[in-house]
Amino acid sequence: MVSAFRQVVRNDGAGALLTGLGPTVLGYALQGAFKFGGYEFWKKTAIDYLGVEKATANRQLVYLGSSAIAEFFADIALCPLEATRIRLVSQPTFANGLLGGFARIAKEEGLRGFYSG
Amino acid sequence: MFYKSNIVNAFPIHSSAESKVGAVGSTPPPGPTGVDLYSRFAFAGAVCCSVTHGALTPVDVVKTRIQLEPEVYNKVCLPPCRHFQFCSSCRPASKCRKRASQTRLGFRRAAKFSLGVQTLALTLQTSSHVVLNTPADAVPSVSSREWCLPSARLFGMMVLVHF
Repeated sequence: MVSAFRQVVRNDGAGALLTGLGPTVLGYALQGAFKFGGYEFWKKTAIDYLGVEKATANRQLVYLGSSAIAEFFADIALCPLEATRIRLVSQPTFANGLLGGFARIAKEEGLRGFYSG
Repeated sequence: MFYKSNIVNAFPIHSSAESKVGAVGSTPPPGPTGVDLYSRFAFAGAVCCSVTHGALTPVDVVKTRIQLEPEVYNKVCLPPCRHFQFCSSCRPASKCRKRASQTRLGFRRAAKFSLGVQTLALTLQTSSHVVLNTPADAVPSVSSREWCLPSARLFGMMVLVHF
């Protein structure tokens, strides 16, 4: 990994290491919001649905279930931004940054492009 | 007494532990509820995730490049990976394992490894509690299992990544 680091810096300059910073920050901000906010929300929903006693008895299941649901929605929010990031890293000439890359995928491939794979 | 950072005062979300303390001494002021509460959770999650992932962007870039062009960027690799080098770069396709069996082998090894590590970590933790004679209540709210699972998975993935 260290040699790969050096290679990237040598070939494309240190700035190349920050490729996709915009989509990464925005994407993971969305993901974090849905993940941690969602986790607490789904936990509350589950406790309300099951009742406090039943939820306390099955607390591991409540934690696992609500984190799974939260992560599911968080990753749906993250996916388009991650697709943009990968595109920016894999094709350096694709676009200048977050807005350009996002707009180009939206225009050329539509929704399908954001969620392919 | 629980350690309380000053940041917590800006985000008055009380833990259940604090409310128990409050029942004995002074009652903590009521925290936010409803949309206010959950938007605080969401905001905190957004800030934390974007800062950590933003800081790790260079690592992410290098990782993605290695995945895209392993023959260019990953000449030096960990010892076990010598046996499982990418087909295109080092040997004729006929010498490669069939993909499905490769995947099965990788996941089997990863599963063995992560279960082993998990058991080991749980055993170590349990025995350390016994040695220190710590009552289970004194252990922080994160239970030992929640620590052991991710660490075990990490080691499992480190094995899997070679396949």
